[in-house]
Amino acid sequence: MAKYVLGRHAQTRSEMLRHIGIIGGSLLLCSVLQVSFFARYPFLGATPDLIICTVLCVSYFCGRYAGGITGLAGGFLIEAIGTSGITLLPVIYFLFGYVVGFYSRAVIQKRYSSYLFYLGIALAIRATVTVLYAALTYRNLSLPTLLIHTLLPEAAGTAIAGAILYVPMQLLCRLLKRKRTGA
Amino acid sequence: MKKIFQNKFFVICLCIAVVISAVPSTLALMGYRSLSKSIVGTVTAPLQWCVTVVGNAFEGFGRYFSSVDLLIEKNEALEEENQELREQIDRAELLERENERLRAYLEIKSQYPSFRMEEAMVIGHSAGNYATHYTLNRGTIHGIAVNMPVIVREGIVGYVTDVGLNWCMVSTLIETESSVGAYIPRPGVTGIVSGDYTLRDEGVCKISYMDQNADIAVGDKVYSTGTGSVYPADLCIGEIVSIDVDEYSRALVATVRPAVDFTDLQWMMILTGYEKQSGGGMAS
Repeated sequence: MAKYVLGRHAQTRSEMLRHIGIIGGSLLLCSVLQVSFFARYPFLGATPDLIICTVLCVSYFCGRYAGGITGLAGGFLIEAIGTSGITLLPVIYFLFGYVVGFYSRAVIQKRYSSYLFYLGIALAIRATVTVLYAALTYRNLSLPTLLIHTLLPEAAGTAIAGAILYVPMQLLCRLLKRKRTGA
Repeated sequence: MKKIFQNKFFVICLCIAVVISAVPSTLALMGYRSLSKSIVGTVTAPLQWCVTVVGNAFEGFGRYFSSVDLLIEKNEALEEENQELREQIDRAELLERENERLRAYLEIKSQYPSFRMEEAMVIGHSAGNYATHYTLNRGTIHGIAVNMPVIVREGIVGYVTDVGLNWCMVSTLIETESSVGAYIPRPGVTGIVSGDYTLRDEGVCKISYMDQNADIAVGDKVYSTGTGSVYPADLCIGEIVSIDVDEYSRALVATVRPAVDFTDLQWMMILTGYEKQSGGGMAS
C-alpha cells in the first residue's frame, strides 16, 4: 500500500514519510482554513473549497496515486470536521483525484491552461455536491436562489483559490521531486 | 477507463472510500454520532483554535483601521453638530439679550407709565478705566435733544450732552459736569449727587449738601428728587458706600456707588418725555 501512496516518487521510507507529512500537512491546513477561517470570513460571499483545490494540485503534480489518496483523505477529513450528516466526499474526491492524476499524466501536458481545465471540472463537481447536499438539507430550495446565493460565490471563491494554489503546490511538488532526485 | 478499474490500488481505495463514506452516513442517519467525526474533531480542534486565534488577530488588526475611519467620520459628524449647536447657542444668547432688554424696557414702562422712551444702542464710548461717556445711535431725527436723561432698568445712567443727526453723546453720573438732586428715603435726607474728579476713576460719585446731622448710613439707597430740569423723580442713583465729613464746612459728604454698572452697557433708554410729579407738565 505504501508503494501506491508514494507513487513513483518515494523510494525510501523516510522519503515516504516526508511526502505524507508535507501533503498531509497541506491538506490539514487547508481543511482547517476552510472550516474555521473561511467559514468565519467568507471569500466573495462564500467559503471556497480548498480541499478540492489541494486534491487537484496534488493529483496534477504528483500523480494518480497521491491524488487518489489525497482525495480520499481530504474528503474524509472535511466530512469529519464539517457538520453534514451524510458522507459522500471521500468517494467523490478520491475519484476526482485519481482520474485527474491519471489523465493529466497520460494525456494532457503540464500547462496552466490544462490545470484550469481541471479546475473547471473541480468547480462543476463541487457545485454538484453542493446542490446535492442542499437538496438533502432543504426541501423547498429553488435552484435560482441556490445559484445566486451559494453556487456562484462558492465557484468564484474556489476558482480564485485554486488558481492561486497552483503556484505554491507546484513549488511544493517540485521540491519533493528534487529531494528524491538528490537522495 | 477500463484500465482504471483494472488497477488494484484504485479498486482497494474505492472500496475504502465507499466504506468510510457509508459507515458514517449510516451511523448519522441512525442518530449515532460517528466515531470518525469524534476522533478527527478531537485532533483538529487545537488547529481550529489556532486558526481562530490568528483570524481574531487579523480581525482586530483590520478593525483598528476600520475603527479609525469610523472615528474620523464620527468626529466630522460631531464637529458639524457642534458647530450647529454653537450657532444655536449664539442665536439663543442673542435672543436672551434681546429678551432681557425688552423686559427691562417693559419693567421701566410699567413702573413709570408716563415715560416716553427711545431705545438706543451704545455705538461708542470713551477710552479709559471707566467708560463714562457713551455715543448712542439716536439723534435729532429720533427726537433726541440735549439734557435728556438716560436710564436703564437699574437706574440713572446720565444725560445727553451733545446730539447730532443720528447720534448723541451721554455723560454719566460720575462725570464732574453731572449734578442730580437726590434724596435718601430712609432718613429722609436730601442732597446733590455730583461727579468728583478724584472719585471718577473708582467709578463712584459723591452726595453733598446734606444736613449736618443727617442720619445716613452705609448701604442707604439714593434716588433722584425730580428737582431741576433734567431727571424725573424716584429714579435710583445708587447706594452709599462711605460717609465722611468735609474738613472745611463740617458738612456730611458721602460716596455713592451708582446702581448702573458702566462697564457693561449696550442698550439704554433715552427719556424723550415724562410727566413731572409736582407740576404735572411735560418735560422736554
